[in-house]
This record gives sequence, C-alpha cells and structure tokens, in this order.
Amino acid sequence: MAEVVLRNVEKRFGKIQALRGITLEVRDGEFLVLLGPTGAGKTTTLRIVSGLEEPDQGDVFIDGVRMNGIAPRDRNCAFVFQNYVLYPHLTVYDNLAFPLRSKLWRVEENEIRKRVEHVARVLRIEHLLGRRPDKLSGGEQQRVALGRAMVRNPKVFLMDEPLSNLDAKLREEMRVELKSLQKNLGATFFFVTHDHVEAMTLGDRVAVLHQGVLQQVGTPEEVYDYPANVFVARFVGNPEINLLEGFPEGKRLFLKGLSLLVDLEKVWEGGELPPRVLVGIRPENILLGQGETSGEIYLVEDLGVDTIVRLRVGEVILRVRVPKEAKFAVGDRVPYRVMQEKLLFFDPITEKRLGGAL
Amino acid sequence: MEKVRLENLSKRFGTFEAVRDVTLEVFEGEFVVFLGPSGCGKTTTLRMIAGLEKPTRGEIFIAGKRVTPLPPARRNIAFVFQNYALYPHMTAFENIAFPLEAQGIPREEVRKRVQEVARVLGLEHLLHLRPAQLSSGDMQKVALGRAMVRRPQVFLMDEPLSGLDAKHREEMRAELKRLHMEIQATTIYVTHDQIEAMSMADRIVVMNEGTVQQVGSPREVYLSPENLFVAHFIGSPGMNFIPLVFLGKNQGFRLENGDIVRHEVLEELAMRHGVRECILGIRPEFLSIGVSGEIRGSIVSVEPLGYKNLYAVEIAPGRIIRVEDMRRERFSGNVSLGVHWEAACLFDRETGQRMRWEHG
Repeated sequence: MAEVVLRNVEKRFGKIQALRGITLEVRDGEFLVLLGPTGAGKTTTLRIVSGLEEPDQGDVFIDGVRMNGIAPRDRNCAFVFQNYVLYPHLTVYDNLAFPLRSKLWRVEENEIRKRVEHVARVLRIEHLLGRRPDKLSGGEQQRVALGRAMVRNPKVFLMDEPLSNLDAKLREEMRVELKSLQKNLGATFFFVTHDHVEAMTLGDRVAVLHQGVLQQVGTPEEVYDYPANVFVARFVGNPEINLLEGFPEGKRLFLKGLSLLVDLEKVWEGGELPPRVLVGIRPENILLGQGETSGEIYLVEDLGVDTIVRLRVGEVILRVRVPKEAKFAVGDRVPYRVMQEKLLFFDPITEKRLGGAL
Repeated sequence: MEKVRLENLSKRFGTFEAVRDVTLEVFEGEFVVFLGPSGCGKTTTLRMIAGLEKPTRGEIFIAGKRVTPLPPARRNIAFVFQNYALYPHMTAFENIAFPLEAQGIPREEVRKRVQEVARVLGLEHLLHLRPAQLSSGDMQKVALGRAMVRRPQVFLMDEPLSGLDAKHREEMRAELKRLHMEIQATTIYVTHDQIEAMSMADRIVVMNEGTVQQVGSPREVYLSPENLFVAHFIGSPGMNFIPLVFLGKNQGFRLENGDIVRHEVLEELAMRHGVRECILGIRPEFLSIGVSGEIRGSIVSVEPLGYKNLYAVEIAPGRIIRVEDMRRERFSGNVSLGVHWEAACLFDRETGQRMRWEHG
C-alpha cells in the first residue's frame, strides 16, 4: 500500500496563492499525471508531497500516515527532477550506490551490490556501470537518475518533468519505458508535466491543474471526451478544440458562425440550457466531403500520420482532422458535416461543461 | 527558376566538420526546410547562406549571382531570428520601416510599403503599438514585416517559432504557411521540429552530422525515407524497425522470434540487392491489431491520444514497436499484427540504406 492523499492543501508565496484547496488521491500502484501550464502549481504540489515545502493549510498522507512536519528523507519518496544531477566524478555504479551509502541507512556493501545490479538489470544499463556520466547519452543519464531513485525501493516516485530535457525522439521512447517500468515495479508514480500528449499517454489518470486549482481528475479518455470546463477542453487535444457560440431556441440550437441548426432533442439530455452557450467540437468530429453545407479549404497541413485542414465557413475557421488518405486543395469548396452527437456544451460565464455528471 | 544554389558547401570549425559537401538548389517561390537534430549543421548552412559564416569550401549563388565573398548586407536576403530582436522603444510601424529608412528611401514610399506589408500580415490596427504591448505572435509578425518590407530575394528563418508555447506555435505555423501561399517568397527555414517541417515545407532537406540525408517533399521523406536515420527522425513516433533475415526467393524472411513472413515483392527486392540481413520499416499506422496477422506480439502498454490509441507491442524480447489503432476500446494481451505491405520499406541492415527498385 502506498497511496498519496492531499486534503484541502493551500499554499501561498507572499501575495501569490500557489495552491487552493487541493484534494487529490493518488492510488496505490497508480501512474497519476498532474498536468498544467507553467505556473499552475504542479511543482509546488509535488514539493509538498515530498516534504520540500510545507502546506499552509491542509494535510498530506502517504500510506494513511499524516506527513505534515515529517522530514523528506523519512517519507519514503524518491524525487526525480527535470535536471537530473549525476555526480560527474563517480561511475554509474557509484552514482547508483550513493543513496545507499548514506550513513543514515547503513547498508552493507554486499547488499548495495545486489540492489545496484538489480536496478541496472531492470533499466538495462548493466553495461554502463563502469562509465562516468559524461560518457553517457541523454537517455542513459536519465535512466541512471531513475535508477538512483529506485535503489532505495521507495513506495512513491515523484517526478517533475523528467523527460523535458530529452529530445523529441528520445522522449517518445522513454515514455514507453517509463510506463512499463512503473507497471513492473508496481510502484505509485506521481508525475508532473505541461505536455498534454505526455500526460494522456502516460497517465492511468490525469489531474489538470490551472492557477492553483484542480480542474478535473479522470482517465485520459474522460478528460478528452468530457472535459470539465473550457480550460481543460482547450488545453488537452491537438489541434485545439473548436469553440463556437450557440443560442438555444426551444428544441433547437442555433450555432452562430456556421449558421447551423442543431436538433437538441437528439444531442442533449440535460435540463434547460442558458440563453447562450459555448459549443465545443473536436477536430475529428467534423467530417469533410459530406453534408449539406460547405466551406472553403483555407489551409492543409499534411503531418504524415494526420492531416489537419482549416476550413473557412463565413467568418469562422474550423480545425478539422481528416483521414490520411483524403486529398484536399486550398481554395476547394467542400461540404462538411458536424457530428452533432459529439458536441460539448459549456456555460459561457462559469465556463463549466453542461450536462453529463462525469 | 533557381533562386539559391549551394555547391559543395562545407564548413569546418577547427577539427570539427560542421557541414560537409552540401549541394542544393532552391527554386523561386519555394519553401525549403532544413530539418535535423541539434548539431546537424542546419543552422551553420543557413548562416553561410546569409553571409554570417564563411564557408571553408564551396560556393553560394543567389539569383544567379555568386555571393560567396560578399558581406550579408550585399546579398539581398532577410534573416528572421529565433529572438525577434525588435527595437523596444519603437512602434510596430517604426520597427517595420527601419530597414527602409536606413536605406534613405523617401518617407511617402516607406509609408506605402509598411502599410502594404501590414495589410498582408493583418497588423494594420497594431502599427502604433510598441513590442511590449504586443502578443508573442504579433511580435513575430512585426519581425517578419521588417524582413518583408525590403523585398529581399530570399527569406532565411532560424527556428522562428521556437520561442512560442505549443498552442501559439501551432497557430503561427498555420499563419506562416498561409502567408507563404499568398506572397510566394523564396524561403529557407531551419527547424529541429519534424512536424513544423512536414506541415510547412514544399521540400525538406533532412540533415544529420553535417551531411544531407535526403531531399524530398514531406510525403516522400515520410513514406519513402532514404535511410534509417530519416525513417526514425520523421514521424512521431518514428518508423518501426523490425529485423528480418532474408532466406531466399519463395522462402520468405525470418523474424527474430523464428516466425517466417512471406511477401513476394519484398523478397524480389531483397533478392535483387543480394541482402540477407534486412530491416523492415513500417509506420505505426500501417500495422493493425488483430488475431490473424503476420507478426505475433504482446501488448506492453496503451497510450491514449483521445482520438486514437498508440500501442507498444513487444514482438521479440526487448523489441518494442508502436502500433496505431483508431478504435475506442483498449486491447491487451497477445495480438497478431497485420502489415500493410504496400507501405513497408526494406532497409539493408549493414548500410542503413533503403533498398530501391531502380537499383541494378
């Protein structure tokens, strides 16, 4: 058992309210990703769990034990930073052994050898044990930094953007490695990133943080399909969700910009809608080449695996994801159809999503 | 019409060979992107075209004229940097007008040209503002405007979007591309971001370790990479590599797990090249998850992207490949992958080169 619980955590730095009423549970053996833009409070949250910061209010529990006031080294957490700092004068072996050689733990050299070798095997860095850090690639250094966190067999891994210093290619590979590692260790991972793709692909669940307030906690699919509010809808997903104004009139909704009438009886099960709503349409929920209305192709971006089309309809430019075999040219007039059953409705004032309890 | 020609361009810093023998033609109105990892020589090449670095060897021609010995100011190029480098005390108008005033062009003519550029860039209503009052996207446009107003022969851009956050970058990428379609200016653009290259380029020049790996349209480098480097670098994630041993015509290829896969066309290709140790290159979207496919494996992890899932599948001990699937449900356990052979590439494992039909 190693769950992490934050309850009503508040943190202020001078005039800045960094965290407001954060209540969050990272389940035992879960890979939870805390996602948000720069300045959202992600790193502060992680530092509070690790004990590097104390909350102004609220509690932190690890394994059911209240951690407030307990020193970082007694929390059985391992912290992996963005800038993994390896000792340049020590070999990989000695870097890995370092945390165990602390007088605090009094681990025997025999035992140290066993643990270092085990960790090296799991991370596939056995062949590097004799080398110094400057002889390693970025990915190898990152593995050593992970290994150093692993040797103490911590219950919880706290990771602050550990992949962000790697180049794009390596990041893609490390993503798979990190995810398998977490499953194999069965450890609890609390991982921070600003990259929504990283969050979606790594997390069992994703917690979205913005301006110190938790916006939503859910599986990647939940966060993508049922964003709690406009912020989450826009922050998650690439290209960004299309947002248009809509005006409900009885059983129908008029989508301004597209001059489209939506039959609410087919797409809306909630109660009465406010007189004005924001309507969200994901780029893949607009189909080109069918439908009664048309738009003009404004731009085509063939990204290899995906093609993104910008379609001009009157004053509006829609982002549309089209199948890779589709061929469109700028200036073409093409019919389009909005998949109305996939529309998302938001309150224009609170920006919260309307309907569905999820 | 050819606008820029590089002939055997090379640059050495001490004993380090930053750029080796780059030969390339850029045509009038073309948008060419130099793409590669950091240290591949792309920026050095651009700086040589601009006249900011002196080539160790080779020649540069702009609009038919040899410019190799000329200073930057006499090459009729405009360089747009990573940092926009606007004058903070000047308005957007003054920033754009600056290069013209420096040339002593009459006031009325300057005003006309600035207005014209501002209209194309959609900056008309912002001309009275100073850089500090502009968004990063608009600052970028002012920097572009300053480059455009001189009507240079060639635009040179060094990662102009890298200072923007992900969302703005995506928007500016689209706007730059749209702008290029409208003004048709010859542009050489440097980036390490393959998505930027794919989305904007007419042609991509893929570089690695100082040499050109491939020149081609985005489709060409994506679907028919010349070598393993290009195959891996382009795409997110890159192309999957599956080692195969060619057993002979009508005998198929042996996978690492001992299974045999058969494909007449690829067998013919391997036969012609006389290669035994091969690598099958196949992109994640050209593999499909099923039960009656050709390559056995087990699912290691699922990466949901919202509109599709990306699977990591282990097909031999330690050999993990990525497979894309558009279905909403998540699969797990043992699977058998179907291969869309028409999109497969075959590489020579020893040289890393793709085997081509034209050969022999």
